[in-house]
This record gives sequence, C-alpha cells and structure tokens, in this order.
Amino acid sequence: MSEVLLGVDKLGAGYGDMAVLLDMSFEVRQGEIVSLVGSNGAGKTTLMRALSGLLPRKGSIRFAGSEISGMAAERIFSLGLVQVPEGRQLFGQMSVLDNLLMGAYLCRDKKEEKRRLERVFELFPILQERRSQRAGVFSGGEQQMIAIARALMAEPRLLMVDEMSLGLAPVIVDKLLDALVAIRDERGVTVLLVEQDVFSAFSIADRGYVLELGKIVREGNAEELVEDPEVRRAYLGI
Amino acid sequence: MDLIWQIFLNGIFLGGLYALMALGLALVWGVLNIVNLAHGAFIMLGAYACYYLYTGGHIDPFLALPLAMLIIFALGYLIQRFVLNLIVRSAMFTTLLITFGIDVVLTYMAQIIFTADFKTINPPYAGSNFQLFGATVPYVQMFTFVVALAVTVGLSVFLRRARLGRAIRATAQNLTAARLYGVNPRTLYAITFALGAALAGGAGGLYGMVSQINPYIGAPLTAKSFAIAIIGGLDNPLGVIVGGLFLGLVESFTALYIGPTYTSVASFGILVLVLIIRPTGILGRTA
Repeated sequence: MSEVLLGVDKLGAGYGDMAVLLDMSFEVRQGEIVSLVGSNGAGKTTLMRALSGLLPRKGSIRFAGSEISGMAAERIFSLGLVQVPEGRQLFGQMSVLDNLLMGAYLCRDKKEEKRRLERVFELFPILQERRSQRAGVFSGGEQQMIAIARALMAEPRLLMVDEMSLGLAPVIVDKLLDALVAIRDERGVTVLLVEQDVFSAFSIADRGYVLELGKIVREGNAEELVEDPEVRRAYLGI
Repeated sequence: MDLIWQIFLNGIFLGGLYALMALGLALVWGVLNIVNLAHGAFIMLGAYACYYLYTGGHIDPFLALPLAMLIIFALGYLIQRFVLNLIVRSAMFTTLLITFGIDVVLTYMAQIIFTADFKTINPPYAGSNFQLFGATVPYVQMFTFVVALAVTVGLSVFLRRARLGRAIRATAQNLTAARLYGVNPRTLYAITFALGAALAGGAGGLYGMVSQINPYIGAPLTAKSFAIAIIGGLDNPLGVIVGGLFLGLVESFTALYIGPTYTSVASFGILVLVLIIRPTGILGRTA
C-alpha cells in the first residue's frame, strides 16, 4: 500500500456555534481516486472549506507530512492541496488563458508557467483552440473542464473536486470522469472527488466514503459500496 | 466655425485630464467596492507634490510627475494597509464614512502645511503655444492630454498583460476563486488602492499645470471623477476615457453656449441621464 497523502482525524468544523462536521476521520493515499459521497446538507462543501483552510476547524489534518489544521488557506494551497470549487467559480469575464494563468498565480517563473500551460493543453486541446474566448461563454461542461484545467495549473498533489456533476448531462459527466482518470494515470495526481451523484462518483473511484449529517457512515472499496444494500437504498432508491 | 473647433479642442484636452482623474476612482471602486471620497484629496496632494518638486527641487513638472505619483502611491498604500483594510468588504456606508473622514483630515492638513493660498505650476514654456488648423493649442495643455492618455492606456495594458494586473481583475470578478489560487487579498487591495491614489496624484500634477491649486480643490474633483466613472462604466479603463472626453466636451460647449456657471449642471445632468438610460455606463457590459 502506498503512503497516506491526506490523513483526517477527528475533524470538526462549522459556522459559528453551528457544528456541521463531527469527528470525521478518513484518509486518501498517494495515487488513489477516492470518492466521498453524501446527500444535500451532509457537510461536503463544509469539509472542502475546512480542508482548504477557509473555516476554523478542530482535530488533525495531515497533508504530505505536515499538520495543516492550523495553517492559512494560502499556505495549504502552496503545499499542493488544490480544489476545484463547487459551481466552478471561474473568472467569467476573463479569457480561458487568463483563467488558467490565475491557477499558476503563485508560480513566478515564466518558463515553468509555459510548461504547465502546455501540459494542460495536451490534456484539453479544445482549451488551446479557444484560449482567447471569455470563460463565461462556454457551456457548463466546458466550464467545468476549464475549472479543472485551472486547478492543474497549480500543479496539485491532491486535487479535490467539489460537486463536479452538478447540473451537467450524464454524457458530459462521463467525459469529465475520464479526464480525472487520465489526470491520475498520466500525471500521478491524487484525486478526492466529493459528490452527490453516487453512481458516477464510485464508477472511477478506488475507494469511497459515505457522509451523512457530518459523519462518515460507510467506507470501503468503491465496487462494494455500490453493491451495499444500505447505500443503494439511501442514494439510488433501489 | 473656428470658435467651435477651438472649443472642441479645449474640451478634448480637458477630457483627457478628466479621464485620468476618474481612472483611479473607477479602479478602486471596481476592485475593492469602495467609493473613495478621499480621491480628490489625493489629486490635490499630487498637485502639491508636483508643485514643490518643481519650485523647491527645480525638476521639470512633467519629469516630477512620476516622482509625485510614487509619493502618493506610498501614502495610498499605508492608508489602505492600516486603515481601510480594517473595514474592507463592509457596508457601503462604513466605507463612505471612513473615506470622507480621510478626505477631511488630508484637506485640513494640507491647509495647515501648504496654507490656503492659490498656487500654480508655471514651467518656462507655460505661455507658448502653436496653431492647429486655426485653433490655438498651448503646449502644456497638449502634453497634459498626451500624458493623461498614455497613463490611462498604460494601466489598461498593465491590467490585461501583467501577472499582478491579472490578479487585480480576477479579484474584482471573483474574490473567492482568487483566494483559492493564492491571491492574498490584503496585499492586493493595498496595491490596488495605492495604484488608484498614484493615478489621482498624477492627475493632480497635470491639473496644477492647467489650473490653480488650493487645499479645497479635492471635493469637487471627487464628484466629477465619480460622474465620469459612472458614465464610462467600471469594468474597462477605456470606458473612463470615453466618459472623460464626453464630459470635457459637454463642459466646454456648455460654458460657451449657456454660460460657465452651468457646466456642473450639465455634467451632473448627464450623469442622471446615464443612470436612467444606461446604468452600466456607456461601455459597460450588461450582465
């Protein structure tokens, strides 16, 4: 087994007095694709925000050998924990190229910036063709692609993708899932997929966790979880 | 006919300066969401900086301009870092109140330090002019116009091409996402505000060469900058050029045909019209 890249132990977080996450523990190993699923209000986005350092949190978060639970968001980001936020959060009035370059904002080396750009264009050739168009004019699936590409520009070690499938047609989601697999296989980037859509999330994952009301209630291999009667009943309605 | 041509040129020259005046206000407004009521005070201080660099330091006022801008940049940076960052992203009323307070403090400090006497920046070539198709063009007026336009276009290029400029635009559009990718909003806000102040300072230096300086010129210029920023729209530096030129022309022709006392009526009347007909500004994008 490969080493643990992200280790979360007894994590608690919330907004003011309202606790959303209670004693959450899970881990993501180097090179894995891990899916964390949960329905609306389970605490998925709160978890992303807590991991990225945008919320006050309790408990321990170890990432790439460092304890990051007390670190500021900017520091955590520069360690290589990068998220593709829910709703994509593109710079809609800026060109695709500008959006991508913002992903490499902390990289001050022009040559390195260019190298990263070329690698991203290799993965998504359509973005190279349409690089000077405004990000806001693209379709939902393409915008999600831009958001993933922008995150890759930061050279992440762990890519956290929040609600990628939201509002997208299944055929588009499949393409994006393929892209995530390629990102892991070809570039060695570990992926944490946080999703509401259980079926697509587990279709590419090595392992999975089920989140309910701020707690992990199931964990295991992705194939086993899809077959789990409890999961099927709660999320697939079968 | 000659008279109309002359008035047209006057209006264009005035408009270029107006554009530069409004540029910093629009930048700060767009990125920090602060309508900086002390903007005119920075213009006033820039004018004094240029004046003293010229009379005391014997530096040609146009060469003194970058230096004056640098001084006001530093002042703006400190004010943002230590005062405005405390209230950034808070309610509009709070930011208005604080910047109004800063305006009052700067104005009265200027009165104490510089006295209330009128001053003008008078380089040796101040009186010289040339003829352009029958109109008289003073060199100072023309240089002022060229410099104002060059700085405005320069800012536009900086925002489009430079790494920092890109980050400033990104932060204006989506603060959450900009933070996600490592932009430190505090530093960025301080730089943006300082840049806005420096632009005001530069406009002030030019203003001092074509008009008179006293500690109270700030407030009316803030109002005028505000009008131009709204007319031109906030999201495009080239918008303020259009807004500035437009206002310059309107004021010049109003002064001729209706009377100099009515120039403000005309400019603010147009502001009201723009707000009714096209609230996003002339070049502003509609969502």
